[in-house]
Amino acid sequence: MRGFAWLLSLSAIAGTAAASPEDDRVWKELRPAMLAFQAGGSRDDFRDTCNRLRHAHPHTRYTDELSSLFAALDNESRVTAPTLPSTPTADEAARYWVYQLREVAGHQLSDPGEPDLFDAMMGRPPNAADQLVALGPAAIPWLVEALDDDTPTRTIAWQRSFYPVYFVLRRRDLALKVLERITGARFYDEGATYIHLYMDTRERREAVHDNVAEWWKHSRGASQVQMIDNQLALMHQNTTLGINQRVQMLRLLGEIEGPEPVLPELRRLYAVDSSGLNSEIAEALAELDPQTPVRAVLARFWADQSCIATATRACTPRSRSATSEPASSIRASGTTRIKRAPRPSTARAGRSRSSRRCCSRPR
Amino acid sequence: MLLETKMTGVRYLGSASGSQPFSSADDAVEELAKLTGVDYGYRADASEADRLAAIAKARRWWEHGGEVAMHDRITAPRAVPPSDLSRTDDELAAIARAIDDPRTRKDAIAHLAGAHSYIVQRALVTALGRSSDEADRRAILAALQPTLWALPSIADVLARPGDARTRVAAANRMYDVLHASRSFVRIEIRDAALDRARAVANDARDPADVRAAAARVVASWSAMAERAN
Repeated sequence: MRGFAWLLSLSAIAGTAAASPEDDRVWKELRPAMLAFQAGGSRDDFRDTCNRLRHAHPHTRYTDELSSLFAALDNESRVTAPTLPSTPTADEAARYWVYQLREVAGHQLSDPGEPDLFDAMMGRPPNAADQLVALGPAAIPWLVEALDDDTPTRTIAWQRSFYPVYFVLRRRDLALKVLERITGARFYDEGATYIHLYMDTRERREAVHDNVAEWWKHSRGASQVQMIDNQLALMHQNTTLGINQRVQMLRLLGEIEGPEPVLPELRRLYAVDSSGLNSEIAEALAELDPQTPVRAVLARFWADQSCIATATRACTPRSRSATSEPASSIRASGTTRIKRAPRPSTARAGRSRSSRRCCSRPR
Repeated sequence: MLLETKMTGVRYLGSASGSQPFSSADDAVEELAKLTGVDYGYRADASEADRLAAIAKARRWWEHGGEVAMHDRITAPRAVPPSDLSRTDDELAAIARAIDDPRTRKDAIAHLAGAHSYIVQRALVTALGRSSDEADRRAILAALQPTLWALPSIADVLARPGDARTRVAAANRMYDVLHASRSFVRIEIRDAALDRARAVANDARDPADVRAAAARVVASWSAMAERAN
């Protein structure tokens, strides 16, 4: 498990630390400037505001972010914008739309949460992110290249809308989300809803970057299934990723190819899963193999551990004699025979204990 | 239940269609279509008026020959479990073998009574590609769960020459699969299936009803498939 120092430091940024009067003064100007920028305001105006605020108030909690925004906005003013020919090649279109990611004005609707980046799914005209997803794999080389790009987009995120810190997402943040949507592979786990790639630690950004570069080396020209397979093989190099991202990819692979290739691994993972009722693994298994939950319930029933079984004993705690009923083996579902024996003390012990409680309800 | 058309609940049909009121008759007509393999023109995302028209069509079918046609199955029901979810591995393998064998396929499919196991679903998908009996193919399409991995085989039935009723049934099943799939990620096999449906919809040599069914599939996927074209 990775350390939490970086999360704690960002938590301090994002509202829980006490603000100085100087901080307050900056925020009173910066917030409306950010929202005006999101609403389509001039990039030059926003750049100038950032520059003015960082010089007028050089020692606030916003100084680093203002400097970063100013530098990135100043840099992009020197870049020649690509144009979109009337009949563009896929490559020309990808280059153009990756550049246009800077105009994506995602809005965050929940506290906490993350901004909606894809307009088409919300019934609005497609934005640059939608266009890139539509282009598919042809956009990937340009998206990989954009993972170093700190150009501000018009997408604003926050931890809480009422905290005095908002985040202007960068082209790299959107490029990564688009890349994940095109491939179905996962390359980054934020670790918290208010973390975004551009603000993450250098080590974690590099882990993502290296992982994507290595994956793309193997995945150029590959099918979607092969792309996901490749990432399943490479994800261990990426310290931001964990079991949830693996399960998500296995699940998608099972949906595309059929459950057979992924069920053995999901079952192995489930055997040591301790995440309880919100288990992503259980959900994936239930979707790909609907018999799994049925068999699990039947197994518990026949093993005399279910609520129903205990209810038939008028909700009395199980006596010693009850547990020593004919125990040889009882037919569950499938060809498996479940021995009526004490549960071993494994990682699933917590689940077993709760299910053995008389008439206990799922929490 | 086909008479119980009072809207008593709401169904969420995915981000593209939103929510719709529904009645017990909606459930009944869906189950009837699955059991009989007959397409009454019912679509879960259609307007209330269209759905009620399809339900009325199902009632007419029932009253004008449908019940008689189903007589043998009604009067001599087999003792089958409500679905295959409580079957053993051996039993599932036996069902799969029966579906695979052209001599026993028809009977095996007729008595599935709810095929959820991926082993049975896989057998159905395989049989769909192998069978040349149009009634069998329609029964298989009706028994398929809306799983994404079945989509290439379903699109095959829609795109290749064959009985128009079977191809329409394939389009309808394709619609169900698309709407059950998640829309927040691009899926290559879904895009390919939609391309095939688009080609059918635009091919003047195909029967009008097949083209219309294919066009409906394509149009229904407007949120993603039509996003940038």
